[in-house]
Amino acid sequence: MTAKVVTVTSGKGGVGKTTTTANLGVALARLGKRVVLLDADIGLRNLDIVLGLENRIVYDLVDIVEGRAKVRQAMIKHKSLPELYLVPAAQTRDKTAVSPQDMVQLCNQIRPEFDFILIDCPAGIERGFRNAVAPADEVLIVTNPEVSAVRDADRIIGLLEAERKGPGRLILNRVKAEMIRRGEMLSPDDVTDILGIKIIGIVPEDDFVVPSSNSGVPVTLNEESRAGRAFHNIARRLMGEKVPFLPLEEKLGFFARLGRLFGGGGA
Amino acid sequence: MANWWDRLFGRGGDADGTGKQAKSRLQFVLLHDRLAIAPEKMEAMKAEILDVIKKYIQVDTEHLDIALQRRENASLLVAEVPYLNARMETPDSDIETIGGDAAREERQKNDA
Ligand SMILES: Nc1ncnc2c1ncn2[C@@H]1O[C@H](COP(=O)(O)OP(=O)(O)O)[C@@H](O)[C@H]1O
Ligand SMILES: [Mg+2]
Repeated sequence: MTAKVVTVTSGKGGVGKTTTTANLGVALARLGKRVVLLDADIGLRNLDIVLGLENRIVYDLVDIVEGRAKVRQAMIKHKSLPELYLVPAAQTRDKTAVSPQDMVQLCNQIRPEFDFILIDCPAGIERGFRNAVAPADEVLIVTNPEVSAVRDADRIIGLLEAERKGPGRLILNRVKAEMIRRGEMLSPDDVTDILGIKIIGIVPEDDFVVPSSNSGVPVTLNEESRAGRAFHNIARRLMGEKVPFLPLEEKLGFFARLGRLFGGGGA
Repeated sequence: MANWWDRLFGRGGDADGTGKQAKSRLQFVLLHDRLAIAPEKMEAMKAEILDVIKKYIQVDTEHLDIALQRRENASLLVAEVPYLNARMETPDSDIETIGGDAAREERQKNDA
Protein backbone atom coordinates (compact mmCIF):
# COMPACT_ATOMS: atom_id res chain seq x y z
CA MET A 1 0.00 0.00 0.00
CA THR A 2 1.20 3.44 -0.85
CA ALA A 3 -0.56 6.76 -0.33
CA LYS A 4 -2.33 8.61 -3.08
CA VAL A 5 -1.23 12.24 -3.27
CA VAL A 6 -4.11 14.62 -3.95
CA THR A 7 -3.46 18.33 -4.48
CA VAL A 8 -6.25 20.86 -3.91
CA THR A 9 -5.77 23.92 -6.09
CA SER A 10 -7.75 26.75 -7.72
CA GLY A 11 -5.80 29.64 -9.20
CA LYS A 12 -7.94 32.26 -7.48
CA GLY A 13 -7.63 32.81 -3.74
CA GLY A 14 -10.49 32.57 -1.28
CA VAL A 15 -12.58 30.00 -3.17
CA GLY A 16 -12.30 27.28 -0.52
CA LYS A 17 -9.08 25.28 -0.99
CA THR A 18 -8.15 25.26 2.68
CA THR A 19 -11.71 24.52 3.78
CA THR A 20 -11.83 21.66 1.27
CA THR A 21 -8.46 20.19 2.25
CA ALA A 22 -9.31 20.23 5.96
CA ASN A 23 -12.74 18.70 5.47
CA LEU A 24 -11.65 16.01 3.03
CA GLY A 25 -8.87 15.09 5.46
CA VAL A 26 -11.32 14.77 8.35
CA ALA A 27 -13.83 12.85 6.22
CA LEU A 28 -11.22 10.39 4.93
CA ALA A 29 -9.89 9.83 8.44
CA ARG A 30 -13.42 9.14 9.69
CA LEU A 31 -13.80 6.62 6.88
CA GLY A 32 -10.83 4.77 8.33
CA LYS A 33 -8.07 6.12 6.09
CA ARG A 34 -4.64 7.17 7.31
CA VAL A 35 -4.23 10.76 6.16
CA VAL A 36 -1.55 13.47 6.11
CA LEU A 37 -2.48 17.05 5.28
CA LEU A 38 0.36 19.12 3.87
CA ASP A 39 0.03 22.90 3.98
CA ALA A 40 1.99 24.18 0.97
CA ASP A 41 0.85 27.78 1.42
CA ILE A 42 4.17 28.99 2.82
CA GLY A 43 3.95 32.45 4.37
CA LEU A 44 0.15 32.32 4.63
CA ARG A 45 -0.52 29.19 6.61
CA ASN A 46 -4.13 28.55 7.51
CA LEU A 47 -4.79 24.84 7.53
CA ASP A 48 -3.67 24.63 11.18
CA ILE A 49 -6.32 27.20 12.15
CA VAL A 50 -9.17 25.50 10.31
CA LEU A 51 -8.21 22.20 12.00
CA GLY A 52 -7.81 23.78 15.44
CA LEU A 53 -4.14 22.74 15.69
CA GLU A 54 -2.39 26.12 15.65
CA ASN A 55 -1.14 25.90 19.22
CA ARG A 56 0.64 22.58 18.70
CA ILE A 57 3.07 23.60 16.00
CA VAL A 58 6.75 23.07 16.77
CA TYR A 59 8.31 22.35 13.36
CA ASP A 60 7.09 23.08 9.87
CA LEU A 61 7.54 22.11 6.20
CA VAL A 62 10.64 24.28 5.75
CA ASP A 63 12.23 22.79 8.88
CA ILE A 64 11.85 19.35 7.28
CA VAL A 65 13.20 20.45 3.91
CA GLU A 66 16.18 22.21 5.49
CA GLY A 67 16.96 19.25 7.75
CA ARG A 68 16.15 20.76 11.16
CA ALA A 69 13.40 18.23 11.83
CA LYS A 70 12.43 14.71 10.83
CA VAL A 71 9.07 14.40 9.06
CA ARG A 72 7.59 12.56 12.02
CA GLN A 73 8.65 15.32 14.40
CA ALA A 74 6.82 17.94 12.35
CA MET A 75 3.59 15.94 11.97
CA ILE A 76 0.84 17.08 14.31
CA LYS A 77 -1.77 14.52 15.28
CA HIS A 78 -5.40 15.66 15.20
CA LYS A 79 -7.14 15.94 18.58
CA SER A 80 -9.97 13.50 17.96
CA LEU A 81 -8.88 11.58 14.85
CA PRO A 82 -5.74 9.57 15.56
CA GLU A 83 -5.17 8.73 11.88
CA LEU A 84 -5.14 12.37 10.75
CA TYR A 85 -1.90 14.38 10.71
CA LEU A 86 -0.93 17.90 9.67
CA VAL A 87 2.41 19.11 8.34
CA PRO A 88 2.10 22.88 8.76
CA ALA A 89 3.55 25.49 6.40
CA ALA A 90 6.24 27.91 7.58
CA GLN A 91 4.79 31.29 8.36
CA THR A 92 7.94 33.42 8.25
CA ARG A 93 9.47 32.20 4.99
CA ASP A 94 8.47 32.44 1.34
CA LYS A 95 7.70 29.89 -1.34
CA THR A 96 11.25 29.75 -2.69
CA ALA A 97 12.36 27.99 0.52
CA VAL A 98 10.90 24.79 -0.99
CA SER A 99 11.35 23.31 -4.47
CA PRO A 100 9.10 20.94 -6.44
CA GLN A 101 11.73 18.20 -5.99
CA ASP A 102 11.65 18.73 -2.19
CA MET A 103 7.90 18.12 -2.26
CA VAL A 104 8.24 14.97 -4.35
CA GLN A 105 10.91 13.66 -2.00
CA LEU A 106 8.90 14.43 1.13
CA CYS A 107 5.80 12.71 -0.24
CA ASN A 108 7.76 9.66 -1.31
CA GLN A 109 9.10 9.41 2.20
CA ILE A 110 5.67 9.31 3.84
CA ARG A 111 3.73 7.46 1.14
CA PRO A 112 4.33 3.94 2.51
CA GLU A 113 2.69 4.67 5.86
CA PHE A 114 -0.48 6.41 4.72
CA ASP A 115 -3.49 6.09 2.42
CA PHE A 116 -3.86 9.73 1.42
CA ILE A 117 -1.64 12.80 1.37
CA LEU A 118 -3.68 15.95 0.71
CA ILE A 119 -1.84 19.11 -0.27
CA ASP A 120 -3.35 22.57 0.28
CA CYS A 121 -2.06 24.68 -2.62
CA PRO A 122 -1.51 28.44 -2.40
CA ALA A 123 -3.34 30.79 -4.76
CA GLY A 124 -1.57 31.80 -7.96
CA ILE A 125 0.28 29.99 -10.72
CA GLU A 126 3.90 30.45 -9.70
CA ARG A 127 6.37 28.56 -7.54
CA GLY A 128 3.90 27.65 -4.78
CA PHE A 129 1.57 26.10 -7.35
CA ARG A 130 4.36 24.09 -8.94
CA ASN A 131 5.53 22.91 -5.51
CA ALA A 132 2.07 21.69 -4.60
CA VAL A 133 1.37 19.98 -7.92
CA ALA A 134 4.75 18.27 -8.43
CA PRO A 135 4.04 15.20 -6.25
CA ALA A 136 0.32 14.92 -7.17
CA ASP A 137 -1.26 11.69 -8.40
CA GLU A 138 -4.56 13.52 -8.73
CA VAL A 139 -5.52 17.19 -8.70
CA LEU A 140 -8.80 18.65 -7.43
CA ILE A 141 -9.68 22.09 -8.75
CA VAL A 142 -11.89 24.17 -6.48
CA THR A 143 -13.92 26.97 -7.95
CA ASN A 144 -17.00 29.08 -7.23
CA PRO A 145 -19.89 29.70 -9.63
CA GLU A 146 -18.53 33.12 -10.61
CA VAL A 147 -16.95 34.36 -13.81
CA SER A 148 -13.53 35.26 -12.39
CA ALA A 149 -13.17 32.06 -10.36
CA VAL A 150 -14.11 29.84 -13.31
CA ARG A 151 -11.74 31.75 -15.58
CA ASP A 152 -8.86 31.11 -13.16
CA ALA A 153 -9.85 27.44 -12.90
CA ASP A 154 -9.61 27.22 -16.68
CA ARG A 155 -6.11 28.67 -16.59
CA ILE A 156 -5.10 26.10 -13.96
CA ILE A 157 -6.53 23.25 -16.03
CA GLY A 158 -4.42 24.41 -18.97
CA LEU A 159 -1.29 24.49 -16.79
CA LEU A 160 -2.06 21.04 -15.39
CA GLU A 161 -2.32 19.67 -18.92
CA ALA A 162 1.05 21.18 -19.72
CA GLU A 163 2.57 19.56 -16.61
CA ARG A 164 0.91 16.24 -17.49
CA LYS A 165 -1.08 16.32 -14.25
CA GLY A 166 -4.42 17.01 -15.89
CA PRO A 167 -7.23 17.21 -16.39
CA GLY A 168 -8.13 16.88 -12.69
CA ARG A 169 -11.59 16.83 -11.17
CA LEU A 170 -13.72 19.81 -10.23
CA ILE A 171 -15.22 20.86 -6.90
CA LEU A 172 -17.83 23.59 -7.24
CA ASN A 173 -18.00 25.36 -3.88
CA ARG A 174 -20.41 27.97 -2.45
CA VAL A 175 -23.30 26.98 -4.69
CA LYS A 176 -26.67 28.59 -3.96
CA ALA A 177 -29.52 26.47 -5.29
CA GLU A 178 -32.02 29.29 -4.94
CA MET A 179 -29.98 31.64 -7.13
CA ILE A 180 -29.47 28.94 -9.74
CA ARG A 181 -33.20 28.36 -9.87
CA ARG A 182 -33.72 32.05 -10.52
CA GLY A 183 -31.13 31.94 -13.28
CA GLU A 184 -28.85 34.32 -11.39
CA MET A 185 -25.95 31.92 -10.88
CA LEU A 186 -23.91 29.59 -13.09
CA SER A 187 -25.16 26.03 -12.60
CA PRO A 188 -22.89 22.98 -12.19
CA ASP A 189 -23.82 22.07 -15.78
CA ASP A 190 -22.78 25.48 -17.05
CA VAL A 191 -19.43 25.24 -15.29
CA THR A 192 -18.60 21.68 -16.41
CA ASP A 193 -19.69 22.58 -19.96
CA ILE A 194 -17.28 25.47 -20.01
CA LEU A 195 -14.34 23.77 -18.30
CA GLY A 196 -14.73 20.38 -19.96
CA ILE A 197 -13.65 18.36 -16.91
CA LYS A 198 -15.41 15.90 -14.62
CA ILE A 199 -16.99 17.12 -11.40
CA ILE A 200 -16.33 15.28 -8.14
CA GLY A 201 -18.37 17.46 -5.81
CA ILE A 202 -20.84 20.29 -5.37
CA VAL A 203 -20.65 22.09 -2.04
CA PRO A 204 -23.43 24.45 -1.03
CA GLU A 205 -22.91 27.84 0.55
CA ASP A 206 -23.36 27.01 4.21
CA ASP A 207 -23.61 29.22 7.30
CA PHE A 208 -21.92 26.51 9.36
CA VAL A 209 -18.59 27.00 7.56
CA VAL A 210 -17.50 30.26 9.18
CA PRO A 211 -18.37 29.26 12.78
CA SER A 212 -16.57 25.99 12.17
CA SER A 213 -13.36 27.73 11.23
CA ASN A 214 -13.89 30.11 14.17
CA SER A 215 -13.82 27.13 16.50
CA GLY A 216 -11.36 24.95 14.60
CA VAL A 217 -13.84 22.09 14.11
CA PRO A 218 -14.31 21.31 10.38
CA VAL A 219 -17.96 21.18 9.20
CA THR A 220 -17.67 17.53 8.23
CA LEU A 221 -17.89 16.80 11.96
CA ASN A 222 -21.26 18.59 12.11
CA GLU A 223 -24.05 16.24 11.06
CA GLU A 224 -26.39 19.15 10.36
CA SER A 225 -24.12 20.84 7.88
CA ARG A 226 -24.96 20.35 4.20
CA ALA A 227 -21.47 21.43 3.17
CA GLY A 228 -20.14 18.86 5.63
CA ARG A 229 -22.18 16.12 3.97
CA ALA A 230 -21.00 17.23 0.55
CA PHE A 231 -17.36 16.96 1.66
CA HIS A 232 -18.05 13.53 3.13
CA ASN A 233 -19.41 12.40 -0.25
CA ILE A 234 -16.40 13.82 -2.10
CA ALA A 235 -14.14 11.82 0.23
CA ARG A 236 -16.03 8.64 -0.66
CA ARG A 237 -15.75 9.42 -4.37
CA LEU A 238 -12.00 9.95 -3.91
CA MET A 239 -11.89 6.43 -2.48
CA GLY A 240 -13.48 5.20 -5.69
CA GLU A 241 -17.06 4.78 -4.49
CA LYS A 242 -19.98 5.76 -6.68
CA VAL A 243 -21.96 8.24 -4.61
CA PRO A 244 -25.00 10.05 -6.00
CA PHE A 245 -24.87 13.82 -5.84
CA LEU A 246 -26.73 15.60 -3.03
CA PRO A 247 -29.75 17.56 -4.06
CA LEU A 248 -29.11 21.12 -2.94
CA GLU A 249 -32.68 22.14 -2.42
CA GLU A 250 -33.70 22.15 1.19
CA LYS A 251 -37.38 22.76 0.79
CA LEU A 252 -38.16 19.73 -1.33
CA GLY A 253 -38.83 16.51 0.50
CA PHE A 254 -37.03 13.36 -0.49
CA PHE A 255 -39.91 11.91 -2.48
CA ALA A 256 -40.63 15.15 -4.25
CA ARG A 257 -37.02 15.20 -5.38
CA LEU A 258 -37.15 11.60 -6.50
CA GLY A 259 -40.27 12.40 -8.48
CA ARG A 260 -38.54 15.29 -10.10
CA LEU A 261 -35.49 13.28 -10.97
CA PHE A 262 -37.11 10.19 -12.31
CA GLY A 263 -40.56 11.41 -13.27
CA GLY A 264 -38.91 13.54 -15.88
CA GLY A 265 -41.50 16.27 -15.37
CA GLY A 266 -40.78 19.66 -16.85
CA ALA A 267 -39.86 21.08 -13.45
CA MET B 1 -27.42 13.58 -18.78
CA ALA B 2 -27.19 17.16 -20.03
CA ASN B 3 -30.03 18.59 -18.03
CA TRP B 4 -29.67 16.41 -14.99
CA TRP B 5 -28.49 19.18 -12.70
CA ASP B 6 -30.96 21.64 -14.01
CA ARG B 7 -33.77 19.24 -13.26
CA LEU B 8 -32.38 18.57 -9.80
CA PHE B 9 -32.33 22.28 -9.16
CA GLY B 10 -35.77 22.65 -10.65
CA ARG B 11 -34.54 25.33 -12.99
CA GLY B 12 -36.85 26.14 -15.86
CA GLY B 13 -35.17 25.81 -19.23
CA ASP B 14 -35.85 29.43 -20.06
CA ALA B 15 -34.52 31.15 -16.96
CA ASP B 16 -33.10 34.35 -18.35
CA GLY B 17 -31.03 35.88 -15.56
CA THR B 18 -27.45 37.04 -15.21
CA GLY B 19 -26.34 33.41 -15.07
CA LYS B 20 -26.68 33.27 -18.84
CA GLN B 21 -24.62 36.42 -19.20
CA ALA B 22 -21.99 34.89 -16.94
CA LYS B 23 -21.79 31.84 -19.18
CA SER B 24 -21.51 33.71 -22.45
CA ARG B 25 -18.98 36.19 -21.06
CA LEU B 26 -16.91 33.28 -19.80
CA GLN B 27 -17.07 31.53 -23.14
CA PHE B 28 -15.84 34.68 -24.85
CA VAL B 29 -13.01 35.37 -22.45
CA LEU B 30 -11.82 31.75 -22.34
CA LEU B 31 -11.71 31.52 -26.10
CA HIS B 32 -8.85 33.97 -26.07
CA ASP B 33 -7.27 32.88 -22.79
CA ARG B 34 -6.92 29.36 -24.10
CA LEU B 35 -5.22 30.26 -27.33
CA ALA B 36 -3.24 33.05 -25.70
CA ILE B 37 -3.56 35.16 -28.83
CA ALA B 38 -5.19 38.56 -29.21
CA PRO B 39 -8.78 38.73 -30.50
CA GLU B 40 -7.65 40.60 -33.68
CA LYS B 41 -5.20 37.84 -34.47
CA MET B 42 -7.86 35.21 -33.91
CA GLU B 43 -10.16 37.02 -36.36
CA ALA B 44 -7.33 37.35 -38.88
CA MET B 45 -6.62 33.63 -38.60
CA LYS B 46 -10.28 32.77 -39.14
CA ALA B 47 -10.39 34.96 -42.24
CA GLU B 48 -7.28 33.34 -43.65
CA ILE B 49 -8.50 29.81 -42.97
CA LEU B 50 -11.77 30.72 -44.65
CA ASP B 51 -9.96 32.11 -47.70
CA VAL B 52 -8.12 28.83 -48.18
CA ILE B 53 -11.27 26.74 -47.83
CA LYS B 54 -13.12 29.01 -50.25
CA LYS B 55 -10.58 28.26 -52.92
CA TYR B 56 -11.81 24.69 -53.04
CA ILE B 57 -15.39 24.56 -51.85
CA GLN B 58 -18.34 26.89 -51.55
CA VAL B 59 -18.90 27.82 -47.97
CA ASP B 60 -21.98 28.99 -46.12
CA THR B 61 -20.23 31.90 -44.36
CA GLU B 62 -23.36 32.75 -42.37
CA HIS B 63 -23.18 29.56 -40.34
CA LEU B 64 -19.45 29.16 -40.26
CA ASP B 65 -18.02 28.49 -36.79
CA ILE B 66 -14.35 28.34 -35.89
CA ALA B 67 -13.80 28.13 -32.14
CA LEU B 68 -11.73 26.65 -29.37
CA GLN B 69 -13.09 23.70 -27.44
CA ARG B 70 -11.89 21.58 -24.62
CA ARG B 71 -12.51 17.85 -24.59
CA GLU B 72 -11.50 15.44 -21.85
CA ASN B 73 -7.81 15.42 -22.66
CA ALA B 74 -7.11 18.02 -25.29
CA SER B 75 -7.70 21.57 -26.36
CA LEU B 76 -8.91 21.78 -29.95
CA LEU B 77 -9.45 24.39 -32.59
CA VAL B 78 -12.67 23.16 -34.16
CA ALA B 79 -13.90 24.48 -37.49
CA GLU B 80 -17.47 23.82 -38.50
CA VAL B 81 -17.75 24.79 -42.12
CA PRO B 82 -21.11 24.17 -43.76
CA TYR B 83 -20.61 23.95 -47.51
CA LEU B 84 -22.96 24.47 -50.41
CA ASN B 85 -23.48 22.28 -53.46
CA ALA B 86 -22.26 19.01 -52.13
CA ARG B 87 -22.16 17.37 -55.54
CA MET B 88 -20.38 20.09 -57.42
CA GLU B 89 -18.19 18.80 -60.21
CA THR B 90 -14.72 20.26 -60.02
CA PRO B 91 -12.62 20.26 -63.16
CA ASP B 92 -9.13 19.81 -61.73
CA SER B 93 -7.60 22.36 -64.01
CA ASP B 94 -9.85 25.20 -63.04
CA ILE B 95 -10.12 25.46 -59.28
CA GLU B 96 -9.68 29.25 -59.17
CA THR B 97 -12.68 30.05 -61.30
CA ILE B 98 -14.92 27.54 -59.56
CA GLY B 99 -14.42 29.53 -56.36
CA GLY B 100 -15.02 32.84 -58.17
CA ASP B 101 -18.09 35.00 -57.73
CA ALA B 102 -19.35 34.48 -61.25
CA ALA B 103 -19.33 30.72 -60.88
CA ARG B 104 -21.10 30.96 -57.53
CA GLU B 105 -23.89 33.13 -58.93
CA GLU B 106 -24.25 30.76 -61.81
CA ARG B 107 -24.62 27.82 -59.47
CA GLN B 108 -27.07 29.55 -57.17
CA LYS B 109 -29.22 30.34 -60.19
CA ASN B 110 -29.22 26.68 -61.08
CA ASP B 111 -30.16 25.67 -57.55
CA ALA B 112 -33.14 28.00 -57.39
N1 LIG C 1 -19.22 26.32 1.30
C1 LIG C 1 -18.95 27.46 1.97
N2 LIG C 1 -19.94 28.17 2.57
C2 LIG C 1 -19.67 29.31 3.24
N3 LIG C 1 -18.44 29.84 3.39
C3 LIG C 1 -17.40 29.20 2.79
C4 LIG C 1 -17.59 27.98 2.07
N4 LIG C 1 -16.38 27.58 1.61
C5 LIG C 1 -15.48 28.49 2.04
N5 LIG C 1 -16.07 29.47 2.76
C6 LIG C 1 -15.40 30.64 3.36
O1 LIG C 1 -14.67 31.30 2.35
C7 LIG C 1 -13.46 31.83 2.86
C8 LIG C 1 -12.28 31.35 2.02
O2 LIG C 1 -12.13 29.95 2.18
P1 LIG C 1 -10.71 29.24 2.19
O3 LIG C 1 -10.94 27.79 2.34
O4 LIG C 1 -9.79 29.91 3.16
O5 LIG C 1 -10.23 29.58 0.70
P2 LIG C 1 -8.77 29.43 0.03
O6 LIG C 1 -7.99 28.46 0.84
O7 LIG C 1 -9.07 28.96 -1.36
O8 LIG C 1 -8.18 30.81 0.03
C9 LIG C 1 -13.36 31.40 4.29
O9 LIG C 1 -13.79 32.48 5.11
C10 LIG C 1 -14.35 30.25 4.41
O10 LIG C 1 -14.90 30.14 5.68
MG1 LIG D 1 -5.99 28.77 1.72
